[in-house]
Amino acid sequence: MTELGRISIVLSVVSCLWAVLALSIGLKQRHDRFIRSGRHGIIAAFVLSSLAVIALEYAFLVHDYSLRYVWEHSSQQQPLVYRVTALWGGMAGSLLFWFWLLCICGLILVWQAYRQRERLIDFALVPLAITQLFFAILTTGIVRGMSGPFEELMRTVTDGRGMNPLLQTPSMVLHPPTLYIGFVSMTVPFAFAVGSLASGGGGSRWISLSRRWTIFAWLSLAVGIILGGGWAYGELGWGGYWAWDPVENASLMPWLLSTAFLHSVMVQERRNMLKIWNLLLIVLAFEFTLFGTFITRSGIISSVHAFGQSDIGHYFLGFIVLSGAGVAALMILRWDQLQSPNRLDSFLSRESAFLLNNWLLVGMTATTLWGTMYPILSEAVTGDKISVSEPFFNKVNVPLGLAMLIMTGIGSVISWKKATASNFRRAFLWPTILGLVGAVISVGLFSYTGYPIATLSMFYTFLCIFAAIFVLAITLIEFHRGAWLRMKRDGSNPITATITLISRNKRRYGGYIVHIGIVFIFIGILGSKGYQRSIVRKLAPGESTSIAGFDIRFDKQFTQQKSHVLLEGVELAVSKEGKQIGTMRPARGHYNLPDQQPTTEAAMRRRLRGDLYVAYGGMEEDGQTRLQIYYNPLVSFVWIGSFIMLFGGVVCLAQGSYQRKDFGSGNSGKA
Amino acid sequence: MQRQFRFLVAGLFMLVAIGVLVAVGIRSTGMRHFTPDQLVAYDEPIHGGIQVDGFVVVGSTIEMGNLKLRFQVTDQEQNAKVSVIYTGIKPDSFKEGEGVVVEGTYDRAKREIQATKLMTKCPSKYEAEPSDEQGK
Repeated sequence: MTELGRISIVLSVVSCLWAVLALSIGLKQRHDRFIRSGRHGIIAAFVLSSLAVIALEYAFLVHDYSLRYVWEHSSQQQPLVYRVTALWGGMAGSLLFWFWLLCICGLILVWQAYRQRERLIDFALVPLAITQLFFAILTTGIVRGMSGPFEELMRTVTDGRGMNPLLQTPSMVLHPPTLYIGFVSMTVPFAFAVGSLASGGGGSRWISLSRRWTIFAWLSLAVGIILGGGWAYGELGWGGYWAWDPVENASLMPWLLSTAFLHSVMVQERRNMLKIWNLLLIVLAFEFTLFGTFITRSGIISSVHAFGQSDIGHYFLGFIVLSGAGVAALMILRWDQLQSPNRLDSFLSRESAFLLNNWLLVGMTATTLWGTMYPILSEAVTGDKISVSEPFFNKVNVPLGLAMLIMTGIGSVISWKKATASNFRRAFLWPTILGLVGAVISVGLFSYTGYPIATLSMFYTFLCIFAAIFVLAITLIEFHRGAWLRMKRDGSNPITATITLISRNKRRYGGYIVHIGIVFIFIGILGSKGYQRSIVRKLAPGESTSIAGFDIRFDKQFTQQKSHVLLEGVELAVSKEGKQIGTMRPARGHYNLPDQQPTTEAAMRRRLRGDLYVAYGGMEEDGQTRLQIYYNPLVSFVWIGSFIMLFGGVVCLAQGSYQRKDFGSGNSGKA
Repeated sequence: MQRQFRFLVAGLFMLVAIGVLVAVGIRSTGMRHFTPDQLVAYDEPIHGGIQVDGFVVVGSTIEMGNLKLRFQVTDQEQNAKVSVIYTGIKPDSFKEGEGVVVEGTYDRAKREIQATKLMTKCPSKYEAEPSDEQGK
C-alpha cells in the first residue's frame, strides 16, 4: 500500500503537468483532442491522489508505524475517528489532503465542462491544474525540512507518538478540513477569473459560472473560522474565542476579501463596472489563502503556536509571487477589455455604497495584514522589532467594523444609479429613528446603573447598538414588505409568504439573513469583548468569591477517569442571591502519553445573557485552589449569529444552480 | 469629471483615516520586542510595555504565594538574565528550560519585568507536529 501511495503521488505530478500542457496547447490551437486529453489528465490526477489518500488512511487504520507520518500522528490507543482525521494532523498529510481537494474541484469542473460545453470552463481548468501541479510537487516530499507523507521511519517502533490531545475534539476534527475546503474552493473562482482573462473576454460570464463556488468558499471559511473560535473558547481555557493571532488572521483575511468580492460582483453584473477591481479582489483572496500558510509555516512571524518550520513557506511565497505576476501580466495584456463603458452616476447610489463597503473590508484586511507583519516590517525598516497584539487590532478594526455594519444596512436598500430624497426617506427614516432611540435608551441605562465605562467605549457601544437596530430594522422591513405583497396577492399566511419570498429570491434574502447574523455577532462581540469581567482567585475549601452577581464557593477536589483521560479538578458551588443554582467542575485533563502536558477543561455555565467560565489552575501546597473566572456577557449571541449567518449562506448557495439553469437553457420563465 | 473627483477625494479620505488609525494604534499599543540580552544592553528610555522572548532559567522559579510567580528568563546563549514577576495562574505548559513570551513593564534598576501576560511556547515535542489550531 505504501508503495502504491508513493507511486501515485509521482504519477499525479506527471498527469497534472500533462493537463496543464495539453489544455494550454488545445485552447491555443483550438484543438479539441488536446483539450479532451487535458481533461483526462485532471481525471487521472483525481484518481491518483485518491489512491494516495486511501493508502495513507489505510496505513493509519492498520497502525503501520513504518511510516514516519503515521508514527508521528497516531497511536495504538487513539480512537478510530482520530486516526482517520490524523490525515490532516500534520503538514505533509495536510498538503496531500489539500491536493486531493483540488483534484475533486478539478473533477467537478471537468464534469461541468462535458455537460455545459462552455469553453470558459476549459480555460479555468488551466490555472486550476497549475495550482494542482504545485501541490502535487510539494506532496512528493522534496521540501527541505519536511518529510513527505510516505517517508519511512528508519527504526522499528511498536507504538506511535499520538495526536496532540488538544486536537482530539469534534470541532478540531472539522476545523482544519473546513478551512482547507474554503481555501481550495477559493481557487475555482480565481481560476475562472484568470481563465476568462486568458480567453480574451472582458465579460462577466465567469462571475455567474463561479458564483456558487465563491459562496461555497466563503461559507466554508466562515464555518472553519467559527469552529476554530468555538474550539478555542471551549478547550483552551482563556475565556475568549478570538485573539488576533497570526494564524487566526490568516484565515480571516481571505474571508474579508471574499466578502468584498461577493458584493462588488453584483455591481459588475448589474452595471458592468468594477471589472478590474473584482479581478483584483478574487486574485487577492486566492493569494491570501496561500499567504496564510506562508506566514504560519515559514517561521518569519513568531506566534505562540508551535509550527514545524521548514522551507515550505518559501515554496508558497514563490508560488504567490509567480502566480501574482502571471495574472498581472495577463491583466496588462487585456487592459482594453477590462474598461467599463459605465461610470458611477451618483455618490448616493448602491454602487457607491458597495464600493464603500468594499473599501472598508479591504481596509480591514490591510490593517490586519499590517499588524500581522509589523514585527518584521518594523525590524527591517528601523531595526527595532515592535510587536502589536490584540489591543492594536481592536483599536483599528472596531471603528472600521462599525462603519461597515452601518453600510450593511445602507447598501441593502439604497437605489441603484441614483438615490432620490424620497427613496432615502422611505428607506432610512424609521430605521434611523429606531436605532437612535434604542441606542440612547441602552446607553442611558448603562450609565444609570453606574456601570464603569470609558468614554470611547461608551461611544462605540452607542454606535454599535444604533447600527445593530438600524440594520435589523432595514432588513426586517424588507422582509415585511416582500411578504406583505405576497400575502395580499396569494392570500397566504405570514409564514408561508415569508418562506416563498425567500425561496423565490434566495440570493437576495439569503444575503439579508447573513446580515441579520452579522448584527447578532456584533452584539455578541460588543458584550463579550467590551464588557468581559475576569478575576484570578485563590480559594481555600469552603471559601467563596463573587463575580457579576454570582457567588462561587470551592467545595472539594475530585478526580475522574473519562475514557482515556484522567480529569483532576475542583467542584464549585455556584449561587446567585443566596440561592444555589448549580455546580461547576473545572478540571485539567491528563493524557496517558509520554511527556504530554495536561489540558485545561474549563467549566462553563452558558446562558443567553452571558457565560460564567471557570478555568482551573491547579492546587497550592496548602490545599487552596487557583481559579481564573470570567463572565462573558452576551457571548451566546456570537454563536447564535454565526448559525444565522451560516444558514443565510446556505440559502444563497441554493440559488446558484437555479439561476444557472435559467441562464443555461435560456428559459427564464421562472424568474 | 467632477463626480470622479469626488470619489477620489472620498477614497483619499478613507486612506488617510485608516492610516491615522493604524499609526495611532501602533503608537499606543505597540510593544518593543526584546530578547533578554537585547533588553539588558538597551540603554535608551522605553515607553510603555515591552515583549520579551526567552527561555525560563532552570531552577529559577519561585512561587511567592498569592498567585505571584517569580522566575528568570534568559536568551538562547544564556548571556543575560532578567527577572520576571507574574501575577496570575501559571499556565499548564509553563516549564523551566522552555520558551516563554512575557509582556509587561520593565524596571531597569531592578532588572525586573512586571508581567501582565505570560505565554508559553509549546514544547519542542510538538514542534514536529504542526497543526492548524487557533488560539493561544
